[in-house]
Amino acid sequence: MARTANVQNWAIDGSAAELANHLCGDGPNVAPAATVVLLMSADQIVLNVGLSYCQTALMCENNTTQSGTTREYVAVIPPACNHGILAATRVGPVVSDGTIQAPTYVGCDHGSLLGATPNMDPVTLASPKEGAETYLGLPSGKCYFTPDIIDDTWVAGNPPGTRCLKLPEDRVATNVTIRVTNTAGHGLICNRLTGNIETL
Amino acid sequence: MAITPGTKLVIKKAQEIAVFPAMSAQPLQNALANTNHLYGYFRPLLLSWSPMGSSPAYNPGITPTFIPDPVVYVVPVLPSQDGLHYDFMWTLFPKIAGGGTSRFTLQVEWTSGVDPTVGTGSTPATKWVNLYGPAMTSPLTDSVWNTRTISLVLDRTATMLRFTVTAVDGPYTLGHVAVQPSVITSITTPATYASGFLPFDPSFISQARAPINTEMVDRCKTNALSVLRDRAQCLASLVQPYTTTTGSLGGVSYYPRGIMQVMNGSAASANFSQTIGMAAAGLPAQKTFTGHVRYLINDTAPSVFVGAGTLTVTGDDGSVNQLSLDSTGQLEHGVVQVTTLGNPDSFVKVQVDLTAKPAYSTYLYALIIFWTPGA
Repeated sequence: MARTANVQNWAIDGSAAELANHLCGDGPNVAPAATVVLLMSADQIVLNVGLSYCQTALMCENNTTQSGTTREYVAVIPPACNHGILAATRVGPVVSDGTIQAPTYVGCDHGSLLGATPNMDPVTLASPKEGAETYLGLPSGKCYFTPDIIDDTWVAGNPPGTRCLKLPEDRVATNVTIRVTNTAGHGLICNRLTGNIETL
Repeated sequence: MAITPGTKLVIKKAQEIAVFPAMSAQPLQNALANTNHLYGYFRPLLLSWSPMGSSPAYNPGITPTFIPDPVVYVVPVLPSQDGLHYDFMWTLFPKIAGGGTSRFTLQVEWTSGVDPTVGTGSTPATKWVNLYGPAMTSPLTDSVWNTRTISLVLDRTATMLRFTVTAVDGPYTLGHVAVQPSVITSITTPATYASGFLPFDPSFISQARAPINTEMVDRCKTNALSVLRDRAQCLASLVQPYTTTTGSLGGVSYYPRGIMQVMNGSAASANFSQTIGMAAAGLPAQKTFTGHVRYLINDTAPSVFVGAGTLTVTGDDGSVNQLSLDSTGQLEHGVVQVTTLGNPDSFVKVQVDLTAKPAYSTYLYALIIFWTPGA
């Protein structure tokens, strides 16, 4: 039986309390049969909360001219989450239709801000999709995950840049460090780190 | 009395529960002990941000650069009501030609007000109150990523934090700043915490055939949800250096610092809008998402600019919600709500657009979306 983090289904609707009131009233003792139901609910709620971590979307570094830019950041994966982590770290320049919008009025004070040579050069993406996002892991970039990653093979069929990660089952630490190197100068490093969770 | 929470969740297999166990301490005791674990070890990132900008000459988030002046970031925050310790983590990459000593001065201040322009003092409602430093780090290793962690108590009323980073010796990159609850290895009882969490004392039902009551069963839920809702998670972040200095170039008022800003170069033109940030955040198996938005936007125009930006949040099921952002130079807030498919790899996309008035520029200091499930 696989359990997945789903606080919305289990915890928010007050399952344990409602079951307790319905099956047992307000008495101090609970009949054995009802105990089974209640404990399954209670146990699942605690599990779900323990797995309920979101992964931050980092919006930064909007500069297509920089090459070799590296970031390192800390992501959180709950200790109970030990199987089938999918990670996709994406970069995407500010685009609307596959090319960066006319950048005349976006930039910084290099002295060319208002001139004919803006700081951002138009870039045509190889395969624009979903607002022309692209993914790290393409030849344009690399991403690294440390520590504890014991399987970071690429997964066929998933979006480019998606890696399947397997974490040690005895892991206690929650933090995983992700390093992103932006070798092609795309901007806007993003983070999307999600996972399947199986505990049983 | 102090309780030591377990270091990991102990999850019962379904068959261990669903076989009509005799009325006894287990498995309820296990479930309650797990709630203690949550209190000690549920550590979502309260803040997670990388500085955004476009000029390596001024922004330490691009290529390693020596910036002798302090670089300041003002970031909204939504702390726990329990006055928890938080781990503040700076990830720095010093790079001095030929190697060498790299030291940094770090400082953190907090306020419970909404105006980031106030001075320093001891009254958080109207001043920036010092939380840490300024203190110099020990020398960091050159040309590798270094993380410095400091544990600080964050007041429950804090609305904004001010981070100041000063390079002492040479070029560096600031890769990431993260803030998460520190591990709690000892929980004080029996008080109910402001978050609603009531610690579980294992001795209550440690005896065989101990009575089981609905309060204890219900406490599994109330404790778990109290911790979950009290510890806001940073779903998305967009942070740039803080400055109020403005200049003029070609007749356009702008912020002369190496930062991303939307500028409108012609007094005769209409308002000009530009996307400045796009990203996606993972929300495993969450079917609905409510985001509490805190942000600071400023512009060089002389008056408040209502509708200076737009935050667009899109669920992976296609649902969309937008929040209009105002440029006031002060802390503002709002709420966004979308649904998702509820899959293990479900996510929401976020996008920030800014608008500049003719001959002026608009600049976003920081925008944080906090996630507090069910609240």
